[in-house]
Amino acid sequence: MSRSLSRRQFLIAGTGAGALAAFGGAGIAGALPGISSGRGRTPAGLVTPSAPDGVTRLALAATDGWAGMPQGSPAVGPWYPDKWAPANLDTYIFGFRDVTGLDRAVVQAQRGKTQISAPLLGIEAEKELWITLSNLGLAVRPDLTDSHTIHWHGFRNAIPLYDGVPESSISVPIGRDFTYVFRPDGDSAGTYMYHCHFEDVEHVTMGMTGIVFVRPPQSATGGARWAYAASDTAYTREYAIILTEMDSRAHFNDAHIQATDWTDFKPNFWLLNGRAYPDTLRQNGSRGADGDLVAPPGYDHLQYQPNSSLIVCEPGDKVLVRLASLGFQEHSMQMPHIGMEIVGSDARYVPPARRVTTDVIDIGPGESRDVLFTAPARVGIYPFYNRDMAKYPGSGAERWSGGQRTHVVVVPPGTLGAQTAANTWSLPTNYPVGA
Amino acid sequence: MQNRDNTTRDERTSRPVRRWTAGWIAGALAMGGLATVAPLASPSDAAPRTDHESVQCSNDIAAPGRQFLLTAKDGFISMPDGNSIYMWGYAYGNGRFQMPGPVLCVNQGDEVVITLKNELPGVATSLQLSGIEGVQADGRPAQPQFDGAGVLTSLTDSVASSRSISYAFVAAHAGTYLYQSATDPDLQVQMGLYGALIVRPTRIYAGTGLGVPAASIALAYDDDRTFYDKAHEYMLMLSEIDPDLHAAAEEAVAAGQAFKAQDYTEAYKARYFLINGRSFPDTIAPNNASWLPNQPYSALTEIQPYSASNPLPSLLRYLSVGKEAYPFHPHSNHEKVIAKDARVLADATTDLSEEHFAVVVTPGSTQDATFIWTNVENYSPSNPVPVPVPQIANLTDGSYWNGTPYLGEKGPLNPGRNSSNQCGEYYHVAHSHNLTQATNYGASFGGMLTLIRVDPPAPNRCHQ
Repeated sequence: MSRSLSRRQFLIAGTGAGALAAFGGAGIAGALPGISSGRGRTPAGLVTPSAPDGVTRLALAATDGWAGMPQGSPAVGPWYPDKWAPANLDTYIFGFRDVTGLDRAVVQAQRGKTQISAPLLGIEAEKELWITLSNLGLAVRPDLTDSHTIHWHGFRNAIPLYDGVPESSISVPIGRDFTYVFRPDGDSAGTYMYHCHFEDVEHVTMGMTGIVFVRPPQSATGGARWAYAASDTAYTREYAIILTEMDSRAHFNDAHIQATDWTDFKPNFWLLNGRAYPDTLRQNGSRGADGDLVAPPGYDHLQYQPNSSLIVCEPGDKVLVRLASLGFQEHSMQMPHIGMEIVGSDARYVPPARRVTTDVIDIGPGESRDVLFTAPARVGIYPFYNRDMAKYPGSGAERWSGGQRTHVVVVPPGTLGAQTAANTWSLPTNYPVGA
Repeated sequence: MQNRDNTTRDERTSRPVRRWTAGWIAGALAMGGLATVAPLASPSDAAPRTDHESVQCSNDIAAPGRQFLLTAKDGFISMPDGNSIYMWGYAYGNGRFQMPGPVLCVNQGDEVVITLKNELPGVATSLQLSGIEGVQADGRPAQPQFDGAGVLTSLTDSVASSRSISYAFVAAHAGTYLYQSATDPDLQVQMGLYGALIVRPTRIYAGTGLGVPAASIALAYDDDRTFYDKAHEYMLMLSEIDPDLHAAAEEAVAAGQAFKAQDYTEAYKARYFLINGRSFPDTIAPNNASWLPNQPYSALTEIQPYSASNPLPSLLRYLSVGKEAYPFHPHSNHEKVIAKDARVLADATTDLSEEHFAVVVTPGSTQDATFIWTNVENYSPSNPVPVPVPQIANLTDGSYWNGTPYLGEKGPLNPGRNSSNQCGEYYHVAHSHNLTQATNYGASFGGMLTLIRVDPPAPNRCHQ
């Protein structure tokens, strides 16, 4: 309490005009020549606060758009691929875009250009995160007047104003902004999720889902990379992966002004960070100078799915994988040849005496797990996948296509520099990652 | 067709305008700009009654005697979308049909006898308590039942229609227990034959330092670490309904025909998802709400902020009757799971409780969790939120919102918005995060969802 009071005075001084300082944040990295870059605009939230008041300010825009499932995926009735989709794309989506630092006119131009999954967000505990949500409306469905919200799933001691449940709080109408304020306290390290709670089942399954994580406070770690405020959670590389499912019928229905009975939910794609295998292996997308997203080179259909799930590491690296699920099913994710230690569960630290080391992570709707593994000494490719083979529609001879599979790629020592942000790496062009 | 509960049948056929409050209507229709429906109830009805939602034992645990009579019979329950569902359930004594069955409360060590009278239409039934050992059925060790060909007919001793059977046991361990039919359970459990048994420890809290009267402290287990606020104990019994199966059963019963659940396995598709036999917004109605005559149990949680003067957590008793795990997500704070399947998560020296923001309740299991919410920021008009809140015309507001960021305050809502907010209290939702289950037959903001109500600290004006 004393913490917030003293901070309050500081803040009032810093925001006297009530104005939101637009905040540039990280540089926008396009594809670098000769480099298969994991660096895109993600993760948006881990930029170092430069505002004098110590507040990290982000801007997210909620709107609709189109995404592309793996090329060659089998058709599903009249629903997939959606014939109304623009070139290269096949599925109607709702989502959040990171529009931090963009002019208002450029932000407005992102209407109809959303992404799945939502931008990866992260913040250090005891710091302050402001997220201004702008509702740009729906380009394909101007008849829908849906508001949007941000619900930080699992935030401790939330107040309704910042919890994003429209019925017990406020939601953001089309053409309006609202700023959410989050002050994760010193005990709140871990992996969380955020999603829109307006007409929750629809907006969530349409793609308004992402990961937000909290690093332990500097006062506890001294700046070391720990998942929790304990040295036994130290890591050298960090990857965040959100599991969701896609029922193409529901996406088609939303584009074609049809209603969906959500109790009929029956997915036909299963996604990691908004992509299905083998797209999960492609590098991160990025934000271009015009504010629109730029596809990873050679994969135009992934323009609006910028988040890779590839896990790249060197032998002996301690790799932290932040798993979260905002689908509606339970999943078992298997990594058969690497033992994974569960060091966190639902954003709570699991002490060593109570940990299990396993090759299968069970995770269901609304749950998160923080998993630590030591990269094997042997260089190579180690699949990480949903072990339920019914959860892959397949495509041609590729039985594993369309589902929740990615790879851990262990590269020779000295190939990678130190990781600068979660879900990033850089590899020589055409480095084999398995597909 | 014997023993059909005529009252509920009348309710089903005549189906009067239901006593929904205006706020519930508004909340259910908050999407799509339809929120300006005319109120159907007087303003005094707008806020749910909140002083009658705690666990309601059917018996008086302070009174002697642990001989219970339960009557298995059929009846109807209602869903918020107007549907009526034909059910089988356990009634208390010779009382009216209800769903779920009566909450039976006993003390650890009690010798309990439950007599089951079968008034179901033409089928045998039974009662089985998961986690209770040494059950005697009519004086003999309870056993599964087989027909002459060796085919299993019941997982425990059953009783034919129009007859009675007694189950006797010692309630050796404190905790939360599920009882349910073990005869053709695939059908009979789905039809509603389930309920809760709560076994309370005889131990009195012996710790010190909580600074509240001993009479307000209860223990969930024979362990001082399991203390909770006696006035804030809640049940969350999770289940689901396929209405087509129930309609088929109703038709079969009406025609005097047998109905086999296995004929229905392929077609099974749950459409309603319940807490304590109710679907939101009915979940937040008080215990014994007159407009839900056969669904007596509320699922609303009402607390005040954690503080030195309010240091006791509430206790949530979860039971799952479903076919799959329900990932139950309380907003606004983690819940601390202190026991699973009526065994405390601790040994003599180590607290093994787990905090979760998704309490996953697997089929047939129970979990006990404690919950607190702390007003850590203490935002108030004199300690305002860092970013000014836009004028209300620039926001979409919800009927449970108090119109301001601040606990205990009330602010303006948009014209036409009917408020269900009573005294500036906060509301948070708690629901299955399989969001297809937070619906009433696919319609959002319903189903397996309830509210956590946080009142301003006492003294307040919330129930005046």
